[in-house]
Amino acid sequence: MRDGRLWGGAGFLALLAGAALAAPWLGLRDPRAQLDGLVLQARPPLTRVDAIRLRDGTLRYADALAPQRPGGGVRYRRGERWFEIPPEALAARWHERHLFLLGTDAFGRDLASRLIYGARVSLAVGLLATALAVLLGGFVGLVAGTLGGFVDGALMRFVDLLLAVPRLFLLLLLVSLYRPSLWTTVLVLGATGWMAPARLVRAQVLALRERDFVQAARAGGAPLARIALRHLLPGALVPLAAEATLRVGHTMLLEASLSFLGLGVPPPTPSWGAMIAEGRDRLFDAWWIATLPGLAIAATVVALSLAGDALTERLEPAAP
Amino acid sequence: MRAAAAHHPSSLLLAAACALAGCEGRPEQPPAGAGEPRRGGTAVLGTVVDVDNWNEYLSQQAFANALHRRLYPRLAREAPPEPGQPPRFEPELAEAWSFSEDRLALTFRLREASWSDGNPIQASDVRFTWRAQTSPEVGWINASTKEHIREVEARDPRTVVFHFDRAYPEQLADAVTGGVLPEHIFARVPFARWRTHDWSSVRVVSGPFRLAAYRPAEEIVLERNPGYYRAELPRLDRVVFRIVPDISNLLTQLLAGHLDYVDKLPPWEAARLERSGPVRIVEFRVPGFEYIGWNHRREPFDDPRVRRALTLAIDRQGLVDELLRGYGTVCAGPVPSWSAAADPALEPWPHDPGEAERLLREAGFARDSEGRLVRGGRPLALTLATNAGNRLREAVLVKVQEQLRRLGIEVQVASLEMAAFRERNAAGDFDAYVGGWTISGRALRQLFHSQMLPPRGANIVAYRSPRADALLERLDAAKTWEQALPVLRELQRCLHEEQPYTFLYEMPLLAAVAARLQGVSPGPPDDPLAHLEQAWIAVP
Amino acid sequence: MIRYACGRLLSAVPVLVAVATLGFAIVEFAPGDAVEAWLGERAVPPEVRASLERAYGLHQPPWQRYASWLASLARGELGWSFSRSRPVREVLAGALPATLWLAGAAMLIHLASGIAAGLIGARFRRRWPDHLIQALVLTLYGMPVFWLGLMATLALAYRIPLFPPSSMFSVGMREAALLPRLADLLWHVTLPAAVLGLASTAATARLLRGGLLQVLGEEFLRAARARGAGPLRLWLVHALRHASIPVVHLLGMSLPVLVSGSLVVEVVFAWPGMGRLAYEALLARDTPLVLAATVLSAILVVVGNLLADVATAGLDPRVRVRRR
Repeated sequence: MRDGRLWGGAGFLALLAGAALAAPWLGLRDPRAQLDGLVLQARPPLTRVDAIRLRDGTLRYADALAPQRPGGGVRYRRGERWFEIPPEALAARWHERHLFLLGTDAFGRDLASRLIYGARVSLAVGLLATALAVLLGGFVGLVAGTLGGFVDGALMRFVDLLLAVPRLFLLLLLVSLYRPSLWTTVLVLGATGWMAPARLVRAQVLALRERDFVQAARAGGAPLARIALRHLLPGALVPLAAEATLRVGHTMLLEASLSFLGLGVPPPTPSWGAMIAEGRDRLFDAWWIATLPGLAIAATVVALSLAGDALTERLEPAAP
Repeated sequence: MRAAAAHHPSSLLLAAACALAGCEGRPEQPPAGAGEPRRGGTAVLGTVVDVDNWNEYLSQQAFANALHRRLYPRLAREAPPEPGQPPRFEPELAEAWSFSEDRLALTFRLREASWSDGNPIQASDVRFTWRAQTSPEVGWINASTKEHIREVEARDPRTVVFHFDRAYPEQLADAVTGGVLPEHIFARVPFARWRTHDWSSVRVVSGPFRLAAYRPAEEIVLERNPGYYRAELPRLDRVVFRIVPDISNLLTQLLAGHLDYVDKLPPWEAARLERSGPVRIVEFRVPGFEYIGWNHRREPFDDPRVRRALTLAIDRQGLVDELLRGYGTVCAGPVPSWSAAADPALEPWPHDPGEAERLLREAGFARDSEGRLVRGGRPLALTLATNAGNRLREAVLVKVQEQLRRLGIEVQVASLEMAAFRERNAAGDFDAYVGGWTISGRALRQLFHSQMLPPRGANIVAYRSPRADALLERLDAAKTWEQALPVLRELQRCLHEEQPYTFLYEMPLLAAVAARLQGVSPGPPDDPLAHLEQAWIAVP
Repeated sequence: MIRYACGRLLSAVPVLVAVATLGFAIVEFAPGDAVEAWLGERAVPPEVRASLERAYGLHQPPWQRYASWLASLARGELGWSFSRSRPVREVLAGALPATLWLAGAAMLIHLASGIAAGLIGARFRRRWPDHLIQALVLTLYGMPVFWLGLMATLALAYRIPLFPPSSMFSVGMREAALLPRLADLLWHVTLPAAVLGLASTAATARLLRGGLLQVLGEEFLRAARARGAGPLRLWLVHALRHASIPVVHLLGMSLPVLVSGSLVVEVVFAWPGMGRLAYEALLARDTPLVLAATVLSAILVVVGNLLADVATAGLDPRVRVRRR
């Protein structure tokens, strides 16, 4: 069962990451392309649409086609207007039916490909920001725990200070300073997320410091930096890794909140949080736009949690 | 919230605008069986914003102003316009007025009416109001409407004389702008302390309604003022505004029958509601337009050919069809297309990417191997910004980004929160932005004169054109509407050719009205809630 | 105990001052000022700008404004909110009850669902009810809170209109008699509180389940069973009490999250609480209001931590023994 959770979670994540990385070669539609603002505006999942292939390879989407007169062009309707394409502009087999598996959004973009490309952004932000937070927090915790005394006191008071301000609020304050971009989001999420890892590492280091082998090394006159890296850090790495796995999901949720408040990765880059925000306007007449990315986030976070939990339990067999 | 450049109700342009076309929206058909107007009942309205200040002269908000006008009427207000006529004013607190021979003195005769606490409304109240309007300590944002008024004289308790330093077409409009305040209440607080005084507890009014309860961020309750001088009005006993900062949420409440009226609808919501039935959509014409401002301080936007090419590359009809759902029209310039001042010969530029490309090549651009447009080794790339939270403009960003990308122009988009957006714009630190203006006569000078760069004026894009400057000077010197009209038309042609902005579209204010609320018809174009006085609740 | 609490609170004062300083600095560095934010898209002449700046004291250099803010804070005044045109004290007093109602209701739902999930999890350990509950709770955790709110609105306020989609009271219910008013409030608070409370059930349920499983093996429980305590009593009184220590600690820690971290829920449900207030104040560059809201939430963090410690001490016999 334990393994089931681990492999289930990890398997889903691997699949998702694989799809995200391989997205350009999966034959998906361009996630940024607004295929047709009228015909394809907010179409539900499994929509099939008439399309006309032109000689130059481009497509015209149609709400309706008029019966073709022999040797004549094609008349088609977009919204309330009729258009005509002369016969010489048509490709030989001009009539196509296009399937939109998960439907389209309000701009006429393909939701399926936006979801997969969106995974890139959401995963990248989650991983990078967590990595940043863990590195930063690990460093601070290691320094505080190793040096102790005044440095420890000062650093931990600073951590208390930052933890005393609600995180989302701190995020908003910081984001408002910069122009929103992928890197701003990563930096800001990392810069506000390092406090908990710092506490964790410090606690581990403090516990390890009293152990015999560390005491022995100190007595032997080893330099502090060496003790920290050789003896203290490795012991703190395992719980840190488990913590990091769990935090990725949390960070992804925060990224979604930021995007929802309009302060995340700017368009047209698809990110799941921004997709929910875009779908909010159309919640009541096109529920799928906001619903699908939300489900994607939930599934990913659950997978991350399962994998993280299972990992923790493996590393600490005493846990129930 | 719509934009407003030096908001200056009922002045020259509007006058011209309303004269021919009329400012009424789509006429409203009362549903069968709605019956005669009746008294009583509570109407519940939804709003996405809260009132920023209960003192009209400390507020900047269109919504707050619409409420202030229900509490404190003016001396006179602009009448719903008639085609082919110059603007007319109908009496409110003044029952009559007349100009002196030289048109430098304007005398109002006040009607016999009283404040809701029983004190008479007097000429001294009008004079006090003028002092507040022009006090630098108060800092009223529309104080410029009073710049030509030298003195307001309370000749006797019911006669008040406005003395002007020059004669010009909008004297009456300027004199009556702003509601009359009760001196005996408002003079208790010195002007210097007005901005740090809480005005929501004032209950003495002269208008059809008074404030009954105010719960910030939650609810505003107006109740009928029994002492209102038009005894038969208002018909409603109470008007409740529910403050909900999300329009979709408000509409859910409207459809559930909890609300009677919601305005500032996004067009896609209006389209959905029009299909779904139980509510009707009322359109209010608004003298304003949306545009893309190009920063003329930066290359290549200093070149009129490039600006025109960008306009040609953007499918504005597509924006109207797909985003506005047909509730708007592509515009050719800053003057509303439905106004008498609009130049009927002027057509908006078409959507023509081919011509756009030709113009860009003429301006020195060529395509590189990746299909980008390049000049002097630098690709044509820009950041297009707007204020965060305006969903329609954010959608415009995304659409325009895609359309310019197809032409080989790389566009980054940015939604900036208002304070940051304004600061960047005022500092000239931008490539292009999507914005909008609600405009009136003097706004054109504010927007397009080369001396009106920020912080002095609103020429954010730094448009410097000797031709436009000269026309704006002539417009300013005009004494009558007849003199101004040809200059205004010439100015529109100039702006069309030089494209300081890409003019996108003009859009009505859309309101959804529940079946039981009757008598909702657009009034003066600067006063979207004027109908509250007439509205009534129909018996089901 | 009281001396201990007072000492903890006093020692938090420097942290609070530091929080205020940090908040002030960040708002100061943010682009644009209160006047720009207030004017929105309006263009005004420079004279009007100047008069606005004078009226709000924005013409003074930042350090001077900060000093005078601290001085007035020491006198117990919170200053004037530019964006709301009212004293900050009143603005906060208006928003705090809304927040406490929402947070209180959310806390109850959180507690009820957490305890239920924890009990079921421990009772049916590694059997299907345990797996089902764990999956459910984990899924709720994985959903973005605002999305859950949107879905709840879509399903339960729009498709099946059981609950109002937003606001705190129905029209006119503010003035109603106590009982109908309370009923109306509860009806309005249910959906946002459920969203806020259920979204964070996972942590509590997991802690409680783990705690219960640990406790069940312990000596005193076997002793209680031997004394003939019924299963209900055994579970609810003995086991739960001991297993709830870390949970109570967690609740104390999550109090500030529920109070100020409910921003997105308040945005979705138009709830007139502290989170939205702070957010809007920040957008309006309304420094006095931002500072007051930040410091207030920092105080809640301190108090929450303190309550957590005190409650832990009250529940845990070992701590009590040590103190005696």
